[in-house]
Amino acid sequence: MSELNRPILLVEDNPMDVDLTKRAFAKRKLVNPLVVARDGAEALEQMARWEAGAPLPIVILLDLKLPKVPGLEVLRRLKGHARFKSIPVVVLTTSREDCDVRTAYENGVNSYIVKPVNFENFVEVAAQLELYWSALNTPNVTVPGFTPPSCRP
Amino acid sequence: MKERLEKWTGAGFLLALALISGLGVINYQSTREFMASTDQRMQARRLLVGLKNLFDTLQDAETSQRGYMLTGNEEYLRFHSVARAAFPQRLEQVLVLLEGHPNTARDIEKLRPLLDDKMVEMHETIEARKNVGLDAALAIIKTDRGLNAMLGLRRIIASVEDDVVVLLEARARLASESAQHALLSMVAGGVGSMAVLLWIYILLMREMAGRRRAALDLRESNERLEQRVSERTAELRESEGRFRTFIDHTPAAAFLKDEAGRYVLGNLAWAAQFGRRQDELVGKTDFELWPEAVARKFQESDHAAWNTGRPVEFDECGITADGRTRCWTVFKFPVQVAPGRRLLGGVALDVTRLMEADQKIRQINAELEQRVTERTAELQSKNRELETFSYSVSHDLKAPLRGIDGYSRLLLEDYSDKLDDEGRTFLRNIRQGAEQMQRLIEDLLAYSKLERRELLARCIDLRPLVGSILAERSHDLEGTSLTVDLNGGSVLADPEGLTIAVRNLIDNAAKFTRHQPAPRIEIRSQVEQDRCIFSVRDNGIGFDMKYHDLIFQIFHRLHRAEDYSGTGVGLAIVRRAMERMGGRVWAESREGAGAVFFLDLPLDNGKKVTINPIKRHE
Repeated sequence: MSELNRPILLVEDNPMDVDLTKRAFAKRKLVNPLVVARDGAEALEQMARWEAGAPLPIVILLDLKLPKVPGLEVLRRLKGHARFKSIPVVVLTTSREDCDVRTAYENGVNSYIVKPVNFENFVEVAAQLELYWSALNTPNVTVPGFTPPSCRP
Repeated sequence: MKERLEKWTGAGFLLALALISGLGVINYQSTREFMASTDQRMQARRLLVGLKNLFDTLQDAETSQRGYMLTGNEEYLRFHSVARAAFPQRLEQVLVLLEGHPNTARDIEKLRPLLDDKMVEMHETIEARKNVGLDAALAIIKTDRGLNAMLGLRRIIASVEDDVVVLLEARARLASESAQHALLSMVAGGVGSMAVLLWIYILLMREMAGRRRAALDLRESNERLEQRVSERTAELRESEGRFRTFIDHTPAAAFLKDEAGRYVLGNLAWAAQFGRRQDELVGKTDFELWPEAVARKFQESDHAAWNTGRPVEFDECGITADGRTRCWTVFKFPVQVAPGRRLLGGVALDVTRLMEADQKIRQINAELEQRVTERTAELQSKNRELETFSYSVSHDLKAPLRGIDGYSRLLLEDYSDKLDDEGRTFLRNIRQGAEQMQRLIEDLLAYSKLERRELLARCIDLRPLVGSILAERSHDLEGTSLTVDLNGGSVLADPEGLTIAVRNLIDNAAKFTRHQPAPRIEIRSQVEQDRCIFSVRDNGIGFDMKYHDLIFQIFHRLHRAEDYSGTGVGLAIVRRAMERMGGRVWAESREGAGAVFFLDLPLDNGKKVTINPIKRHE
């Protein structure tokens, strides 16, 4: 399975934000498919699909303020999972509240980005994200039933 | 003085007694002498009488001899023999009287021969007459034997008589002298003792006068004393009356108790508690007047006052005669009324109303407390709501803004050819509005964050802080003449709060000098006493000082948005940050003549300074 085929999971309840994110990625010619979960519960449902063999996302873009299950709880569940905890999670939110930032990092978030209001900046962020996580970053081996050996110290 | 007087009077009396005794002795002696001399004189007189009688008897015998001779009458003879017979007896008598006078007795003895001669002569003559006759007798007579004897007798007797008379005279003289002596000594003794007695009398009189005077003085002083006693008594009575009146008019119950707990005194207010007369209550104990529990409490406080010797104060409630519950603040104190006799004084202030008021205040306080708690809870919930609100603002308001901005951008990018210039201007205005709103939201969030977060007190060097802000803002400050002179040393502040404040002031200066031909900003700090004064001076448009307070209020702006953009939050944030850090911000300006903004910050001088007095509600 090619890295390019692995989707990007966007957890976002605001349809406008979903659309704008899609468009921002489109503007930057993003090739990875964008899977959208519209609330925390939907995001957690994805885990069942992954268990069933669906491809794991290359990165999860997680909003914090979500209906049903809050974003930080989704993060906690993801990072508490033996297998899925290696999926990079980037919090993409409008909140720059200290407590949100701290809780997110305590729960193992890989990055915390405040959504810019300005569309140009937003597109820029989308481009950087895409470039970094799908092109520069080497993801962990996450094939079911296969555990690569640990390296000797 | 008194002893001397007693000595003197004693001595005087003794002297007088001695004088009188001496006088008595002298008297006695002179009386005895006088009596003796009188005896002698009488004896002399008796001797003279005896001599005369002797001579008379002799003459009688001679006369009767001659009568017989002349007449021969026998009668004469009888007479003559009587005289003769009496003669020896008479002589014997004279001789007896002459005992003790031997010389005279010897003279008298000389009489005897002469007498015998005469006796013989007369006997012869008588015999001659009787027997012979007259002539014979006459012849005898003519011999003068008889006459000579008679003459001799007469001579001797006369001489004896002379002796006796001389003796008598001597005796009389002696007696008179002795009497004179006695008189003299009596007079002298009398005068002496009288003088002594007079002296004693004077002494005694003086003494008595002194005593009388002393007695008078004593009486006077007694009278004065009595006067004073009666005055004192009156004073005391008045004082007691005053005390009584005072204590009875005292609205607080006042009393005195003895050590057995019996009341010895109480005022009207005290008696009124029991609805009885004072005299009915005196002598009673608390146990006879109050319920046992109350009385016991009183007794305990009595003991406390007795034992400590100091006043005790306590509060007590009881039901009085009128059936009302009353409360008192009671003071008890031991008083020493006489050596070894102590009483317990007490004053009971009726504090029922105070207690009731206190109760009410407590109740009100409790209610207030309850309300405060409720309000606090309300406030806390409001605070939480506010936090949730700002959280929501940060999330929810920004999302639609992003939509507005994003889609306007997409419209401009993707549908530009379908819009005319006006349409494009509209879209740009929409984007500008969104941008402005975003800034506003960011500022509001920053402001509310400043309100809510806890501040730290750190030592901050202003130089790197200002330096990094200037670097941050280098783009905005391009073309501006900058002067940075930071000599104010390190300050004690919250790093983020101070950064926000300084950044806002620099932004503010940059904004209002933007249209100046030669924009200039001077950033300085200097030490004034224990404070650091940080200032940002610009040569911008300035403002009228009447708006000084207004510009530090949130959302207040002095300029139109198209002239100087802004949210009206920046200076409010500065003020809030300074207030929370224990500092101060103020400005000096004139319209068109630039402005200086000052920050007053505590210096970091090693001393601990508490900033952030307001603690956030959790």
